[in-house]
Amino acid sequence: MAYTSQDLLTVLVAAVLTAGIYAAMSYGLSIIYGVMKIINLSNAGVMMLGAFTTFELFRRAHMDPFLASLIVFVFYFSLGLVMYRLLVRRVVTSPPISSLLLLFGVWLVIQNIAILIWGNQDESILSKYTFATVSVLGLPVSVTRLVVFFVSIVALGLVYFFLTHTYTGMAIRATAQNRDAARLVGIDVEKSFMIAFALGTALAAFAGSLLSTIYSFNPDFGRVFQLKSFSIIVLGGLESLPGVAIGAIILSFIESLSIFVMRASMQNFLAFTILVVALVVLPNGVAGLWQRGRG
Amino acid sequence: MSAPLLETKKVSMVFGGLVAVRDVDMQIEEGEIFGLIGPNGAGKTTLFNMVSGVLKPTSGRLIFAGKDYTGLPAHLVCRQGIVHTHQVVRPFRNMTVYDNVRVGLQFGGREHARRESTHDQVMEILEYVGMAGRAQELARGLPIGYLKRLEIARALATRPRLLLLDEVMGGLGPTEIDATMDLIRRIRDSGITIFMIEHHMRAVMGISDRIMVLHHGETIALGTPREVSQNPVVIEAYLGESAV
Repeated sequence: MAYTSQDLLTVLVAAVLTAGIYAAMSYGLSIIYGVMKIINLSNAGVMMLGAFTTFELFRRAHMDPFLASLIVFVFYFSLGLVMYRLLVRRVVTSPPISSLLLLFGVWLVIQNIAILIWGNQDESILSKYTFATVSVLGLPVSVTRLVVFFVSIVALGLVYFFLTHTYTGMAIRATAQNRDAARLVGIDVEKSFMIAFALGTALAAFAGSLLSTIYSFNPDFGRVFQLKSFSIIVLGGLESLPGVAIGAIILSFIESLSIFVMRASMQNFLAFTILVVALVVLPNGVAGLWQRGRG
Repeated sequence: MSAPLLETKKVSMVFGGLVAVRDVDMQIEEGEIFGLIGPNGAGKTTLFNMVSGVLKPTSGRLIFAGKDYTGLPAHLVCRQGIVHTHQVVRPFRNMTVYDNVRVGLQFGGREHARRESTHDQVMEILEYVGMAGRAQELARGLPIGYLKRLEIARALATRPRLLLLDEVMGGLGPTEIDATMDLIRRIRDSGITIFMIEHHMRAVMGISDRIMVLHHGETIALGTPREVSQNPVVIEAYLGESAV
């Protein structure tokens, strides 16, 4: 079967749009790792909850799903604060296995609660955007995907601005770079941890909310995306926003272009192959390569 | 005579069964340079960590400017006016020199209210330590001599009343040591009391008003540099160690 340049363009546009949401869903994991040095496995469960919360707001309150995603962000930020106060606070300074297991447990609990509430079948959100398309570069592009892309980029931009231009953001960055030094110059490191955890949780739920407008979901939703997030942040060097953006673009382009050479159902296999290759070849990620280059 | 700026009353630190610091009593007067010396493992850094709030003493009290602050967490101790620089430098590596100082200005300091630091305040501190020309460089690219100064600059930015210096001379060459001694004197003359751990004898003897000697966690001598250097117990502690 021959492919036309039109096909290639379609795939490239899709890859760019996917990269946006990939970056948004991965950055939460990256912030939490960067600041607290813990791997937040509950991220996947929170993504799924974000999707179902959007679903309920859409189904019961007839709310626009994108408006719902903002409410999800705020709500899960608060939930993140509570999770930190009740649970995560106790394991931040323990060996990594404690936080890993704790948050894995949180994920299982969240998942099973979701099964009790929503059952195990797939749900989806069919809104007025679902089947709408607009023309981009002469190609029909789904309105949902376009809006998801822009909302993701704006959200990441706002988070980045928060981290680089506010008082609290600066405290969080300083904590990430050296928590002992941060403490010694008068930064409340506990507070940095709490806000970083809440922000990461809010971003995961927000990404789940956006993803629910594109994909169908069930209580196991989030697992595949979480594993993709790992590939992305490992590629990107674990803790920088530019790194995450680059990782998201790489994964999204490889996945999209693979359509020309392998079945679409093999895409997930690619993410893990990339994860393994990245860990072996580029343990500090693409950003690490760039830093090394600059001496 | 006015009350001392810092006073420790029988502070001890026990790690498991090991006594790192035992019943140390000392008083540091406002405006002095107070040196702390002792062989490796004497408990000097542990004592520093207790004074700066990183470690909570197992027993004893810490009093700063007349207030008992035993058990206060490190970031709040910093906001009381005690700041600590580390033997192993701890810069915010991915921030510029400028931003490293700005963090200190914004979060440290004695008042709790948030403040916006001004460009002038940052530059004034950088001028003071002789790093204004490197303001926009990333901390991770700096050579060790500058990292040590950056550590001091960031500490000064918190506007301390008491500055704890942990081996700032370590790894420096003779000219850098002279420059750092001069810097420490200027800091003291600007009204900041200095409490310093130093292995470099010429430096610590040259600038300290008083010196305390710690050995196996206990105070074995306290006095002027001359008194301390002629104290037979001190000489034995040092020679005894080097003879091992």
